[in-house]
Amino acid sequence: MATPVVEQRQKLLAEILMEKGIPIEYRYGKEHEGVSDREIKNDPTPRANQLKNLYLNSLSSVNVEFPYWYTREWRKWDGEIPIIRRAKALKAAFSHLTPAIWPGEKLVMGKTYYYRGSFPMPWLSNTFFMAKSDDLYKAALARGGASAGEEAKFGAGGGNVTQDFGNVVSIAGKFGIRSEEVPALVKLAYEWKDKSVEELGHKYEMMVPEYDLKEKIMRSVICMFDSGYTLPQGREVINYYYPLAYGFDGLLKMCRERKDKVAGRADGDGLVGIDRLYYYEAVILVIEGLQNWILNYAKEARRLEAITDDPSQSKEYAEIAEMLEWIAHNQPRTFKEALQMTCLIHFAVLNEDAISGMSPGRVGQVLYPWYEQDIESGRATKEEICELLQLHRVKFTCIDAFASTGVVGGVLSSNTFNNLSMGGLNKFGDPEGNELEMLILEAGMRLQSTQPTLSCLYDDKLPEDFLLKCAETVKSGTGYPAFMNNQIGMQFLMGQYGEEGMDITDARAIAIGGCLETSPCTWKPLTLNGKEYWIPGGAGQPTSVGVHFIANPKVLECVLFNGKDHRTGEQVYPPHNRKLETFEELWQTFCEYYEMTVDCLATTNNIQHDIWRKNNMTVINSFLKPDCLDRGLHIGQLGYRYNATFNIESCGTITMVNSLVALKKLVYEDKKYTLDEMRDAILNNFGFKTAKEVGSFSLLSQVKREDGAKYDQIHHDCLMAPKYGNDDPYADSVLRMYEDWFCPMTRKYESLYGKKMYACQISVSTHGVQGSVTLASSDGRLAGTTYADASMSAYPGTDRNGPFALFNSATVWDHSMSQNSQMNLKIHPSAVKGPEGTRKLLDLTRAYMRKGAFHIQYNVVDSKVLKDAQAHPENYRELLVRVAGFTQYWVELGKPIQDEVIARTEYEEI
Amino acid sequence: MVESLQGLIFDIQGYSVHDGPGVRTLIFMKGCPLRCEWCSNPEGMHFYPEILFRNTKCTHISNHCSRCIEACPHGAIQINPNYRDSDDVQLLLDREICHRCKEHKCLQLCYFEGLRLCGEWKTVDEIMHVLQRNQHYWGRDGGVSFSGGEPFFQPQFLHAVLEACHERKMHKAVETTAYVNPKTFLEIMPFFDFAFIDIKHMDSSLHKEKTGVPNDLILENIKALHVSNYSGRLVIRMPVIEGFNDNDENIEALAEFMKNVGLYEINILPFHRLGASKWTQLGKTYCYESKSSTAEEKLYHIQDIFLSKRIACYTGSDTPF
Amino acid sequence: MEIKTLHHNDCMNFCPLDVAKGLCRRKNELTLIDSNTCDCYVKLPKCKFCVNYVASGDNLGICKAEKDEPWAYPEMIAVTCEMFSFA
Repeated sequence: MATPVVEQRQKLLAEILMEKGIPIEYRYGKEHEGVSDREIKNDPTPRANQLKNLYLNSLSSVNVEFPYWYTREWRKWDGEIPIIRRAKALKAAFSHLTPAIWPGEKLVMGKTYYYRGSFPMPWLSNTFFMAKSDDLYKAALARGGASAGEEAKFGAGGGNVTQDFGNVVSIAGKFGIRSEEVPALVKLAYEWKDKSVEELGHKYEMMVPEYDLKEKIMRSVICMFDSGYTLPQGREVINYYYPLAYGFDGLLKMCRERKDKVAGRADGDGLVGIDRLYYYEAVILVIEGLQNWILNYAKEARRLEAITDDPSQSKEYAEIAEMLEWIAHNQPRTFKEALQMTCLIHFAVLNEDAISGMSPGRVGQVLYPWYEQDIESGRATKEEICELLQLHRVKFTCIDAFASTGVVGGVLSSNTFNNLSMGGLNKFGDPEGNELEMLILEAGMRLQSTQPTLSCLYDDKLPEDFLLKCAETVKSGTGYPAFMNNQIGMQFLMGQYGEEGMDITDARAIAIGGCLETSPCTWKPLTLNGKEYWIPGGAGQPTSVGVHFIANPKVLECVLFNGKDHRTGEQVYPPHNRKLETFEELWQTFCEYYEMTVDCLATTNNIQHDIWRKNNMTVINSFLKPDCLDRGLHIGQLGYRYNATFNIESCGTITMVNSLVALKKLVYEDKKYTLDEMRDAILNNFGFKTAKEVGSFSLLSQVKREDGAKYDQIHHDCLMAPKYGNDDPYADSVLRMYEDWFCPMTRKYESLYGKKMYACQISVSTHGVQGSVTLASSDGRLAGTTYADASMSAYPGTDRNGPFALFNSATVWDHSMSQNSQMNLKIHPSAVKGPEGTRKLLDLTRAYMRKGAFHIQYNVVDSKVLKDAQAHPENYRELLVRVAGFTQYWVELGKPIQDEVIARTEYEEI
Repeated sequence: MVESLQGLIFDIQGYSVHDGPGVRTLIFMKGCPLRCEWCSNPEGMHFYPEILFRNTKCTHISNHCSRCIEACPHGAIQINPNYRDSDDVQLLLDREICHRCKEHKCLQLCYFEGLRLCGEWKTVDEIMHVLQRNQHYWGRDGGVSFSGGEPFFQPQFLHAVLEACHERKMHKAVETTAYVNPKTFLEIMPFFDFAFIDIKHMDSSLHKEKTGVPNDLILENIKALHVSNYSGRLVIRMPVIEGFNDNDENIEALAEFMKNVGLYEINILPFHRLGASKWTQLGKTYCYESKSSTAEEKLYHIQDIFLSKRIACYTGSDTPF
Repeated sequence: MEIKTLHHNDCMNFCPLDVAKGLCRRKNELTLIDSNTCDCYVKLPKCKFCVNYVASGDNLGICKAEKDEPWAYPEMIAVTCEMFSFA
C-alpha cells in the first residue's frame, strides 16, 4: 500500500508533468480508470476466506452413498425401458444424498457430504475395482488397526490422499475412502460385472477388425485413453436456462403437457417418435429426484436453525432454508437464489456421469437479469454480489471428479476444468464485458483458487477497461483469465456446425468448454419481472469424446523404426518396409500411420459411446440442453441442437514439428547424417542415461553416460537445427504443412452420430505422460522427457528471438480450422509491473489475437519461486500456476509437469 | 548503397518494456567511446565481434572435452593452470589473438555453446525484417529503441535504419551517451521521437576518471539539441554509482544544469551487478563485483532533491512510459 | 452386529469435512473422526443403528425393510432413508 511519502512524491511528479503538458492518461502513479487498486482490496471477505481455508484443509474424499442407492434402485427395475430405469436410479440416488451445510455458507450443496467429495460410478467403469479388490481389502484390513491420531500429511500432493493412513485407504494415490466402506465399494463394482459401459463396450469393440491395432496403440500409449467410459461427457458448456426461466415446477408442468401430446403418436418419425413419451416420463422422474435433494438440504437447514445457539448463524440457516424451499419449485427471485440455482444444477449434472470440464459458460451474462434488477432496486450491493461470487469460487474449487484413475492423474492433474467465459458479443453483435463480469474478475483476484477458471472471449469490440481488468487479473498470479479469440472461435463454429444450422447469431453465443474447447451454444429468451433478456448457454454435445490424445512424436518414432515400439519391443504398426529415402516419403508414411491410428480409435470408441448412449444416456443434461425438451429426445437420439462434437486430439505437435525439421535439414538436405546414424543416436539417447536409470523423467535432471561423448556432435546438430518459435520460415513451413494436412484429415472420420470429426489441439497434462514413453527425438529432446506443452508453445529454451518471433511462427496457419490452439507463455513479474505493465500485457495479447491466433495464457511468476516451492511444498499450499489450459495448485501437480513449467522460457527484462 | 551497408549488432531484444514508451524492440549496437567501469553491457564496448566464454556450459572438466583447444590453429585457447573449483574458469583465451582471428574454428566445434560469438554484421534490410514483424506487436505506444554500446558509433548505418523506420511510421527511441560529433548528433537526433541521454557526472575530470572521456562534449550536445528545438521527448538518465555521482553536490549541479537548459525529466537507475557475468565471459575483470545494489533510500533521497527543484525524477523502471 | 467404539461420524452434531475429520457443531472445532465421542454425542441415523439392518460379514449386511432384502453396509448414513428406524 502506498505510504503518504510515496503518494506525496507521486503527486509532485504528476503536477510537474501536467505543467509541461504531458498527456494526463499517462500520469505517473495513477491507475487507469476501471482498474481497481489491488493494493487496497486484494483479500477475500472473512466469510469467503474461512470457507476457502476449509478447502485447503480438506482431503479429496470418496464415499459410496450415491452409487449404493443408484445400484439398489436399478436392480429393482430389471426389464424396464432403459431410460426410465436410469431415471429411477438417478432419482433414488439424489433423494438419498445426505445433506451437509457449513456455518458461514450462503451458497450450499455439493456433490457429496464431504467438502471435496466425489464417488466412482461402477455402471460406467468397474474393472479397476474388481482387479484391485484384493489389494483394497488388504489395505482396509490393515487400516482397521491403525492408530486413530495418525493424520495425512499436507505438502507435496496438497489435498490428494497419496497413501493410506489411519482408517483411510488411498485409491490411485488421489482419493481417500474410509476403510469401513471398502467392502461396499468392491461389492458395487461386482454388481456391474458384464453390465458396465466399460465391459459391454469392450465386448463389442473387440468385434471391430482393427481392434488388434487399437490394443497395441493403447499399450504403447500412442493414445492416452478410451473416451467412451472414462469421461463420456464434459468439455462442453452447460445450460442453466430452463430451471432459471421456468423453475422446476414449471418444467414438470411442461413435461406433463408434452407427455399428453406425444403419447402414442409417432408424428411422422417411425424410429423415435414414440420414444418421446418415455423421455418426458424420465425427465419428470429426475426432476422429482432433484427436488427431493434440494428439500433434504432445506430440511437440514431448518434443523440447524433450531439447534444453533448463535442467533445470527441461526438466522442464516433460516435464510438458506427459505431460499431452497423456494427454488426447489420456482424461478429464482434474486441474484443469490439464481446463483444458488446454477450451483445446484451444476452439481446435479456432475453427479449424473463421470465428467470433466463441465463449463458454466457465460455466467456473467446468464445471471445479469437478476444482477441488474437487484442493483436497481437496492436489494443487493456490489460488495454483497462480489462476496457471493467469491463463495461461488469456493463451491466450484471443491468440485472433484472421480474418473478412471489413469485419466485423473495423467491427464487432468486433478483439475476438473469448470471454465467460466466472459466478454464476447451478445445476440445482436454488441460487446459484453458487463458490470457483473467485472465483479467476477474482481472476485477471482480476491479469492484466488483453481475454479472456476476464467476465459476472456477476446473481441476488438470489448471495452478497454474490461480488457485491462482481465490483464490485471492475470498479473495477480492466478493464471486466469486465458484469452480466446472470439472471431476465430466463431469461424470454427460456423465451419463445423453449419450443416446443423449454426448461423452468425448462434455463433455469437460461443463459450469455452473445458480448458479451451470451443463449444456450440445458443440464445434463449428469459423473462424476469416482465422484462425480457436473451441469455447464452450450451447447446451442443460433449467435446470430451472421440479420439483422445495421439502422441504425435511417438507416431513419428514408429515411422523411423518401421512400426516398432522399442520401449515395449512390440510391433505396433504393420512394417512399412520403406527406405524413407526422401523427406516426402517420410512424411507420407507418417500420414499413413497416423490415419491408421485415428481410424481404429474412432471405430472402437464409437462402439463404447454407443453402449453409453443406449444404457447410460444423460437424462439431466438432456433436459437442460436445447432442444431436447422441445423435441422430446435425449442426447443419444440427437435431441441436442449441435451434435458434431466428437474430436481428434493430438499431443506434442511442436516436438514432432521440430523433429521433422531436424530430419529434413540434417538427413535429407544437408545429408550430414544418414537415417541410420540418426536412429542409432535416438536409440542411444544421444549418449545420455535413460530417464529410468536416472530415476526421473524431468527435463532438468538428465545425466550423460560416461561414454556418451561420441554423440555430442549429432546431439549438438539436432539441438541447433532450425526450431519452431523463431519466425524461421524453414521450421514454420513444416508446421504449416502439418496443420494443412491434419485439420482437414480429421474431418474424414465420422462419429457414431454420423457427423464429421475435427481437430482439437490442447495437451492438458498428457505431454508429460506421453513424453515419458517416447524415445529421444531428432529435435535433440532426450528419452522419457516431456514434449513441448500445449500446441503452440515453443519447446522450453528453443524460442530464442523473443515472443514476437514466437507469435509469428504460431500464426503461420489458419487457427479457425481447429477447435483450438494453445499457447502458454511465462512472464517474469518485473516485465508487467505497475499500471503501465498492465497495458503492455494487453497490447501483447491484442497483437497476438490480431494475427489470428486463437489462444494465449500467461504464468506471471518468478521461476525462483517455483524452485523453492518444489523444495518446500509445505510453504506453498496456496501457490497457483497455469498449466496447459487450467490453473492448478502447484503442490497438486506431478513432478515432471512441475519441471516442465519451471523450464519454460521466461520472458523478462535484462 | 543501402544494400551493402552493414551494422555490427550484438543483440536484438524483442519484448522490452522498460526502455521507452510501450512495448519495444531493442537493438543493441556494438562500439562505444566510453569505458564506464560499472558498464552492464561490456560486450558493447568494442567495435568488433568478440568471443564470449561461458564457463557453466563448458564441459572441459566434466567430460574432458578439449575440441576447441585442439582446433585453434593459433594456440589461443589454454587450460587454466590455476583451476581449483567450479568458481574458476576452465579455459583461458588469448583475446589479442582471437581479435585478429577470422576462422573461429573453435566455435563450430563447441557443441555446448560454451563459446559464443558476440556481434553480428547485419544489413538494413535484415534489421527492417525484424522490425516490420515486431511492429505488429508494439501496440499504440511502442516502437524501436536503439541502445548499445553507443548507437551513434555507427552513424551511417544508424541513419539508414532510421530513415527506413521513418518511412514505416515507427516510433523511434534512443539511449545515447551524446558523446558524438556535434554535427552528426544534430543531424540524426531529429529522427528520434524519444531520447534517453546519459549524464554520468557533472564534473568533467571526475567524468573522465571513471568513463575515460570528459563530459564537455556531452553537455554541449544536450544544450545544442535543446536550442535546435528538438521536438521529441528528452529524458536524462543517470546511473547511481555509490561514492561517485550520488552525492548531493553532484545531484544539485545536475539539476541546475537541467533547469538552465530547460529539461524537466530524469530517470535515475539503481546500480546492479547483472552485467558481472559478461565481464567474466569476455575475460575481463569487473571491479564492481563486490559493490552492492543501490539502496532504495538513496534513490528516494536523490528523487526528492530533483522533485524539490521541480524536475520529474523517476526511479528505476518505475516510469510513466 | 455388535457396535464397537463410537466415532465422531456417528454423531448428529458432526459435519464431515473429509475422510479424516469434520466439524463438531457443539464445540465449533475440527475433530478427527476416529477419536472417541464426547458428552454432546447424539446418535446419527446409520444403517448399523437401524432395526432393519442385519450384519453379514465384515462391514456388509442386509436391509430387511424391503422384501427382496438388498445388501447394505453399516456406515451408510440414513437421515434421508424413509425406512429407517432406530433399533
